[in-house]
Amino acid sequence: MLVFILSLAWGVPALDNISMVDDGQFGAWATHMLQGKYLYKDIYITYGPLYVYPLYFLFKNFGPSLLLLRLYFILGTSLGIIAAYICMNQLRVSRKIRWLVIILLLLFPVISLRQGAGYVVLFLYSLAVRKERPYLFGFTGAAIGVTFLISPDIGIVVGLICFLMSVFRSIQSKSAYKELLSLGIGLLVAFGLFSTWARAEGWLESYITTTVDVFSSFSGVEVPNGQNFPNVIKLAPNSMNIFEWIKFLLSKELMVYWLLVFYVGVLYFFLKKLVLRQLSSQDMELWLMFLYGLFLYPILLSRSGIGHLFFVISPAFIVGGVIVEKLWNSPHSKKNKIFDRKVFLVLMVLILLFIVRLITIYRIEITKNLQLYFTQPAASQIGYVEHVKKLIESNSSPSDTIFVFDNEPMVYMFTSRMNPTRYDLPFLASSREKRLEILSSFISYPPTLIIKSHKAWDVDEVSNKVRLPEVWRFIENNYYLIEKTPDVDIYKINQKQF
Amino acid sequence: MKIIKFLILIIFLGIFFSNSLILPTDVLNNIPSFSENEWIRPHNSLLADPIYQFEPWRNFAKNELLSGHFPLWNPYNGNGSPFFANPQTAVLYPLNVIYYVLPIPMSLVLIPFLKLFFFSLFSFLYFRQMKISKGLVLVGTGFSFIFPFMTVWLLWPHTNVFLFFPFILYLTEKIQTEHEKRYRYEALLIISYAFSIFGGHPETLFIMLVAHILYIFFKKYNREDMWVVIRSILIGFLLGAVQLAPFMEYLLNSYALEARTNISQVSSLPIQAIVLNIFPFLLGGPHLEYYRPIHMSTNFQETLGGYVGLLMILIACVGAIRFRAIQSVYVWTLIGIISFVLSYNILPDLFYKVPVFQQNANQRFIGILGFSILTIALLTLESFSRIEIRANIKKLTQGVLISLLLILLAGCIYIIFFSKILLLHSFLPFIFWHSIYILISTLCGIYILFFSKLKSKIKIIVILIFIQIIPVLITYNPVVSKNDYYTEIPLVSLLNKYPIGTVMEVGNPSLPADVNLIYKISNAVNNDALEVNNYKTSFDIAFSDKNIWKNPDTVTHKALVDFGIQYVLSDYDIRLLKKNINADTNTVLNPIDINHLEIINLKNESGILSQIRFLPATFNRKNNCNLMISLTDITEDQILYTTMVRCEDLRNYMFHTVSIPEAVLSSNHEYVVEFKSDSKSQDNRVSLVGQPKKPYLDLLLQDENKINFELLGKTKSIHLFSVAGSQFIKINGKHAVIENKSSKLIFDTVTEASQDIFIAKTFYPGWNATIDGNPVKISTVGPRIKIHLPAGEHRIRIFYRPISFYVGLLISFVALIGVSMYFIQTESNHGLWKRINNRWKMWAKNSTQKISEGEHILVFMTTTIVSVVLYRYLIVLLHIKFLSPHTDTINWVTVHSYPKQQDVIIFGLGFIFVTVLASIAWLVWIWIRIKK
Repeated sequence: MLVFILSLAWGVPALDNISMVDDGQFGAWATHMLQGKYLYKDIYITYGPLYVYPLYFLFKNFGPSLLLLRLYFILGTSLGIIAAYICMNQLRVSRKIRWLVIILLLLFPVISLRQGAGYVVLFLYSLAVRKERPYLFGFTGAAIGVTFLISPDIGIVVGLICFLMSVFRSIQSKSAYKELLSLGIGLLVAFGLFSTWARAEGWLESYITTTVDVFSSFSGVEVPNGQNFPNVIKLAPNSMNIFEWIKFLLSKELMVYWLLVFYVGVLYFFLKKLVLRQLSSQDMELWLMFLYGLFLYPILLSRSGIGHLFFVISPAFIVGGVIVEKLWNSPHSKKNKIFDRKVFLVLMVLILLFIVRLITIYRIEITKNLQLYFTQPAASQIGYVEHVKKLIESNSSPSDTIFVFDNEPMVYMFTSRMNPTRYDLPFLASSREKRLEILSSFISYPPTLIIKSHKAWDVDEVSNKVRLPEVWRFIENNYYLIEKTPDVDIYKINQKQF
Repeated sequence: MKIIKFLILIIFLGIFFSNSLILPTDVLNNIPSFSENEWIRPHNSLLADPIYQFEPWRNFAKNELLSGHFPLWNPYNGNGSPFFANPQTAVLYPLNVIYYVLPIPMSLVLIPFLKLFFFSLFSFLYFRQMKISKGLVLVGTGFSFIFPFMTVWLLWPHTNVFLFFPFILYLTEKIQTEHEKRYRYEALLIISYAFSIFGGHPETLFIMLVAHILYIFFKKYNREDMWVVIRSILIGFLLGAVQLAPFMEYLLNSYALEARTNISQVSSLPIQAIVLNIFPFLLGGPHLEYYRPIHMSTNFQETLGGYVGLLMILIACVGAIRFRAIQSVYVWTLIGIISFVLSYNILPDLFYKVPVFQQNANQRFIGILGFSILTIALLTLESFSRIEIRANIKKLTQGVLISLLLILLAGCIYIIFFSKILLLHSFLPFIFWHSIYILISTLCGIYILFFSKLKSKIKIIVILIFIQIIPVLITYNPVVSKNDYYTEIPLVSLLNKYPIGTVMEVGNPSLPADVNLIYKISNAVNNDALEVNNYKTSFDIAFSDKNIWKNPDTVTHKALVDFGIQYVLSDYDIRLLKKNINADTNTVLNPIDINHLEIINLKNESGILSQIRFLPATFNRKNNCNLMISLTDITEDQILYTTMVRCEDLRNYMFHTVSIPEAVLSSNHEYVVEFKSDSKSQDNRVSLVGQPKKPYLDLLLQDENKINFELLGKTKSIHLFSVAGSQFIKINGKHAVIENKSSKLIFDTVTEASQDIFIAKTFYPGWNATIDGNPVKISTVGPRIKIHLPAGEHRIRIFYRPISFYVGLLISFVALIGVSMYFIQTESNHGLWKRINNRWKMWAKNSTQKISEGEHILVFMTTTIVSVVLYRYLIVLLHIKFLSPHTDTINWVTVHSYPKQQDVIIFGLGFIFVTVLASIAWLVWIWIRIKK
């Protein structure tokens, strides 16, 4: 309960201005659904449907509002932190360490609903292994399915972990076949129910196609937000100046590598236990957490920015906490005790340095508009939103459609205007096929207004003008500028062209 | 054993330094376009399939795999056809992995050798399991190395499957006898069946399965053992589901299933062919000077697949009667009899109309029959080596032998009489001496075995059996120089001068399906054993005029355009009007020589004659005669044209076209075409094909309407034409192909109006299409794919994603996991692993006591830092550079031309390198530390 209250009071998503992209996309999607659109079929989303539907139901019952949007995310975070807490309980971590980790999780924007769903699966799986009850494996399978429907990547990661663990367990346990079968049945039940629902509403095929497309486009050279991870060799100082080296080692970019060093260290920890036959039942549960973190780590290689480091760091906190405790409590002979403690202290100093640096990065460099309340953004942002809203409303009727050319989907929620294309985040349409799809939508249902924001975030510093040249050319040929302000440009359709 | 090991070593060394390949590429010489300058007689013309199909398929699979694509679709034949789903491609067959990784010449020697090696190794294991004495086991192993079914089908996928037969029997025996460790044999049996499925010949697999089931049934296994074997077979099939599921889908969509279901005759050997198992060269051999199949529906390979020599047959017959009390003899006798009945058309047709048997090539049961005889003979010799042969056995033997020999003699005379072999006098001495050789060696063997008192009589018998088998097969699979591997021919050079497009052969085969795969040229014909029903039916309707080679003999412009065919390869000028005078191609007429000429009368013919086309038979030999062809107007008694063709420029059963400088034919006149020769020798002359007094003949007359074909070039034997207006993508607007790979086609279009577009690709389940990333309906119109395209600028993506393959893959994966889990779980509780586990525990306990946690951490830190530094220098040293794959996506990577994959791969490899190296170093450190 305390964890829940704390997370609500100091919930991570409410500490800053509203994100026009991350929060905005959910607001836009739920708003569009209220307008009669279906996910995937009419809206291109990179998450699972169950990540959006709860918000849609909230909007449907209470009306779209920023407060609801923020509450939804806070609730997701709270549930995630609680799931992590339960997992630590399962790991039998001491209370001190448990709270230390919880504080760290509250400090950073580390857990959202989808990471939390992953923890629920891991908790259920470890519970099932401990109790050896087939129905618990069935629940785990169903939870994997639900997690996949919240976030496909997390669903695959936890699904893979459970599958591999069961296969590994089969070496020793004859009931492993039953485990796998129960997992499979649970998974099938979850997917079966979902498929029936999605098929009845007519968007099952679109869901499958879009999900496959998301995986294929986000795992290769076509990734829309694919700025490369920092190249440590290029970043390293050329001189032998000690201060430059310290600066380099503590730099924001190097945090990605420090996290990797941590995971490599934990890998050695398990290797040592495996080789020296020291593995215990608790280690299996810890191993699950480690794999969860390790499998999430490649996200850092395919996405840019320090933000994604926070996204994958929560398993590291949990695993780190447990290992620190284990090392401290490990049996020492008198001869080795002092030496072991020295080595332990060095490790602790390094970990602390890492955490302190993370705090400075997040709390000082990123969170610039720290607020103590969470329902409203800062006045400057409200001003911007009101300005844009006024411009749109004065130049269009409620039945008109608009297209926000830059990555500010929140505008759709504020103005309750429909987007004629599937893309509320146009940067996602960086492949030629998707660009032509936008063009097709423009030709079939031309938007009345095009909103071009000057304040919008250019993903990877590549503007949408560069990303979507065909679309921009179309706008230039068929729209004319009606409003030009320091914040936005508004283009209106040239009716003669159509 | 040392000698055998030494021999194997020598053979392997020979393979690595060999300049040859076991692949009869010289078979291609029979095609005029491959032997335009000089015809060299192929060593064995019957070995065509490996050259025409199996090698091109394997080569295509290698190229696809090495370029990072799984070969699901063959884009080069029949406007595309399933590739992997055709099991004969044997993409997943383990021995073919050698082909994928080693240089082609080396693997083309190694794979056939390994097939024989494994078959004999597995036979060795099985015979040893049968408790046959060591010497006879080695004899059996030796026979297996030259086992006729394996030898004559060596280059076919049949033997990919059949080589597992003795292994399956061995494992079945082991499952019955070794109860404690039988999970190992069970796992191996599962794998053997899976590999047999990957081997790529479902018919042989079926035959092997029937024989295996008969074996366990007759052996009267107890219920538990039988269940274990059947369970293993079923799991083996599940493991092979990745191959079976697409195959079943292809079969159901194939032309072959319908065709085979509707045939009235069962596939089996004619009863007369039994005699060939005694006197194999009675009708010659494809690798000899003379060869004639016993029946048009069968050939040397089919009839000789079970050949084991007369002596071995007789020994087995005697053994089957005398030692029937021995269970193995009894079992193999029953299997042998059933195989014999199934191979030869003995029972009433109704029996063969059992499902699957009706569609199956039952004649291949002859391989099982051969193996049965071999096993019974070994068991008989084993028994004879232990007991004294009694008088009644001698009498029995005499009776059996005399009756058999009389029957055989009658059979020989019957075959020789009906095969018209007597026509070729020069071959008769060979047949005579061949028969004498077989009979004398057999009689010697019988005498020595039953009547002599020699101590080493078994050894002599073995030698005599070898003497009967080896000459039959020793030169059957020829060795050719690796320089003869699909050489560059003028036709391919000519085609490569023009833009890529699909070609169609008209008349003679010139770049036959699937040889075109080697040259990466598309051929409108697909020639695999199944063929997509929809395409094949459309093709047969559009090109209904087929010739002796089953190639279209005439084509229409409309049909070519409908199929998107851009080029035509023809032995005659297709711009001319072809008028067939005599169409029969069934009979080879009497040879043309100084005493005999062929005359064809032409009445009521009019037009401007430009070419004459006829069908010669050269008896598959090099003839040095000349053929004089003349056209005479007998109404006015005037020779209009005369020319001379060198007999050596003619190819057996290949159309030959002679150009004529525009002779005007009038319907009021009568003409004759005469074929004369200056040949005097019986061994140096050619014939025409047709009906007596009506040889096959085409007149090619000028036609003003045929303006849609442009002659692009000509080699000595083939014309190359382009087809006007034929397009790969038929669209009313602009289009640009962005990517055209085997399983994927991407193109951009700009159109002013919505319309249906047609793509010259075969429609088949698994093909999907998207327009601007959104799935659209895909359908078929005749031979092409149809998509409805809205107006404007679009990107169309057509891709092959067969559900059957993915479902099969999933089933195989689950089966593999299940089998692995079962095996590991059971293995970990047994023998060696248990001992290792106990020692490991002791060692770990010792290590834990001696080394502190801090030391471990320090060592790991140090080794990791060293590994990182090492990797850093390694990367600099190797200087790895990747090129980004082509994409027109606009993102950070493409804007900055950044090779992202390079960083990811270097990073990933680095992680593995560092952790593995550091872990090894740590392990070494512990080992040294404990030792101290």
